[in-house]
Amino acid sequence: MPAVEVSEVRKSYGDVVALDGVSLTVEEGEIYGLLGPNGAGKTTLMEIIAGLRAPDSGEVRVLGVDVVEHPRRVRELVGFNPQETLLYDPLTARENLEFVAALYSMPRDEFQRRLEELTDLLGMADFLDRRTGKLSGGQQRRVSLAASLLHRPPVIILDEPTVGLDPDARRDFWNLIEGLRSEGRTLLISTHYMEEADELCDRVAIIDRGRIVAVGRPGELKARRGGRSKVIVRVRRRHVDRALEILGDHSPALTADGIVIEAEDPRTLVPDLVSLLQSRGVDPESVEIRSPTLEDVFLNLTGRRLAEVVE
Amino acid sequence: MRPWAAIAKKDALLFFRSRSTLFWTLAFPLAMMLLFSAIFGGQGGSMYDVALVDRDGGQLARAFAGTLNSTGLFNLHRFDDLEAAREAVKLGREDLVGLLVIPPGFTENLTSGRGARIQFFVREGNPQTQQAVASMITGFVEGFNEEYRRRALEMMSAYIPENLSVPGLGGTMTREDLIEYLETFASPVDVRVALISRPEVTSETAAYWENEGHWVSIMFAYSFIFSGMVGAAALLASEKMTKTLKRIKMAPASIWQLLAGKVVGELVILTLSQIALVAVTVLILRPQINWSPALVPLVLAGDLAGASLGLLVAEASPDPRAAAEATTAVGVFLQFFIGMYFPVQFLPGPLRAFAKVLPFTKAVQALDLILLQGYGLERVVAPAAYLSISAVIFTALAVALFPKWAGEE
Ligand SMILES: Nc1ncnc2c1ncn2[C@@H]1O[C@H](COP(=O)(O)OP(=O)(O)OP(=O)(O)O)[C@@H](O)[C@H]1O
Ligand SMILES: [Mg+2]
Repeated sequence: MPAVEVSEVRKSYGDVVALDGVSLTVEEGEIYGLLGPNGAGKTTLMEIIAGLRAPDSGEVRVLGVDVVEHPRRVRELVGFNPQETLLYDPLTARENLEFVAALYSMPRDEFQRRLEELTDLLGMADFLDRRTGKLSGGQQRRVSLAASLLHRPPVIILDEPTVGLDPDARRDFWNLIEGLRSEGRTLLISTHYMEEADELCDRVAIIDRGRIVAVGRPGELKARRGGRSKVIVRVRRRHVDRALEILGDHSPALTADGIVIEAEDPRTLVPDLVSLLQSRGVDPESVEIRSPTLEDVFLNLTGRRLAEVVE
Repeated sequence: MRPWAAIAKKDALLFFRSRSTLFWTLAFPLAMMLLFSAIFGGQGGSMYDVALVDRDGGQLARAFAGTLNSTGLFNLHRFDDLEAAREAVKLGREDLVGLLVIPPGFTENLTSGRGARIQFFVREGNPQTQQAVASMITGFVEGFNEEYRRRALEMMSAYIPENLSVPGLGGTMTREDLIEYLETFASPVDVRVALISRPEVTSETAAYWENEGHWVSIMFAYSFIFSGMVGAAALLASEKMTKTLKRIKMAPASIWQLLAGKVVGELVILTLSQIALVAVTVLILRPQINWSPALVPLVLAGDLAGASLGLLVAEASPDPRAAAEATTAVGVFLQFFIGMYFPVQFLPGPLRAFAKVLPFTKAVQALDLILLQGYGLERVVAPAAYLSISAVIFTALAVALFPKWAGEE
């Protein structure tokens, strides 16, 4: 049974079409990424799956349970960690978590056990008894995540969990996600960081303007829609014109990054390019191979760059 | 813990952890209570201003007034005209709390061995002042009588033979026995105490306004407005402002558990605020009030009216921040209509009419009657019913609008 099954879901806010017929299937135990720019409809889709919003049409099932028909059963199955931290600032982290546990009617001793586990897992021991309003953004995120994981949901939905985290914290977070997966949980994660989707996710759905434009393993997507690899050559400014002339046969393009040459087989091309340039007296500053990224996939599919639409 | 209990506990914690909330719901009304009771309540020092009309003018009348003046308990204001004096006291001019009238014939009656009577009129107002002034006057008259008796007997004793020996009931009576005997029943001056009612007394509220016990009623009404209405609106609105409503809706608890938690939380907040407000007021002012079980349903009705009105405003408002701000503004405004700073009767016509339809003003009226007058619930039916019906209507509306508020934004 799939963990999450979404078929033909539509949702509009007045004139704004947030989801325009979205279908996807998340298998049990996988880490599934939703990659898309701001306003793509990621949050809307996740809130519908978590039973927080009703779709205008279409069907959503979580572990076989229909979200519209049995919203309360679905809420037991899903742990949704929203984009915002949703904490009561004047309460301590522990009080916030105690409150959430009570919302799930969790018995006291079970809460204590679970709190200890999550405190270890998320490294919250230092600030468990401080008011969440006084915690750093990263600390608040950890408390908020703990709140979503308290009731041991089999399906975990994380909406842009790493926004605002520094690279180290982001790596820690990725390890945490791997840990959750090894517990057998299913994870649906939205992000607009393509490296994150690439590194972390088993499969990625690329979503744009309320539509899913591609689904697949990151490697697969890059191979299929990422286009060719690129070799980027940088030379001294005064050698640029000459280098372009020398490399003329390889249809070079001058970009802000340097001279870009597309290649089917960059590993064999690079030594050729270097010796060609050196034989004509131009010594390259650097030569870099860039494989296709999900960014390229997005660009090829939509004609726009992810980064452009992300502020 | 049940979801509703968790919501109630969480709301109470949020309420009492907010400094500005504590200021407006506890510190501010207590400061006003201290300030206003200091201004209007106590008589400054221990001197009471009393009007004096000496219609006798004789030597003993002057001696009586002079002795009274020298006690330091009273500050006597002499009036020639009885009616003028009566009017001045009635209106409370120059802080007059009473009127002492020495009738014609006072001196003559006393010197000829007949009893003389003085009259003391005490102004209706703060019952404690009333009682204090009246007992000071009767106490003074007793003292005056004792002194007068002693002197009279001293004078008369010159005429009692040294070796008196009369047969009496308990054996032979000596001169000393006779003097002691005479002392026991001589009461030359008698005092009658009566009440002068104030002209502006048209309803209970004004009559009780000067009573320090009235502050207890005010503290309850203030809590209905601030801990209740303003608090409930702010706590509900903040669930949307901080988006924590989403967190609650993510959980399998139903929206009715949320509403129940909100209401129970408000009742806890109100009860704790009331305990604090009333305890401090009672400790400081030590008013004479009647604690009656009738207070319980009345206060609960006020709690419910305040809290549900707040919920209603938050639910009906399109913008949560506006709702929180609007109830605060309304709360500040309403303070002036419950008889906190001046009697409701002092309001100009249209505003008075507004005050009269306010359930919180009715609550003060009913509370005054119970606390100050010792009435039971059966004697405050009209204001209590008005308050309860308002509470029921507000609650019904708040419940009816709740699903829409808790639904999708
Ligand atoms: N409550 C709402 N009312 C009206 N329009 C909304 C609402 N929520 C979202 N939208 C609109 O729906 C579209 C999809 O928004 P959504 O929040 O789902 O995107 P997103 O992919 O999560 O974006 P982001 O990366 O910025 O979080 C956007 O155009 C947004 O403006
Ligand atoms: Mg979003």
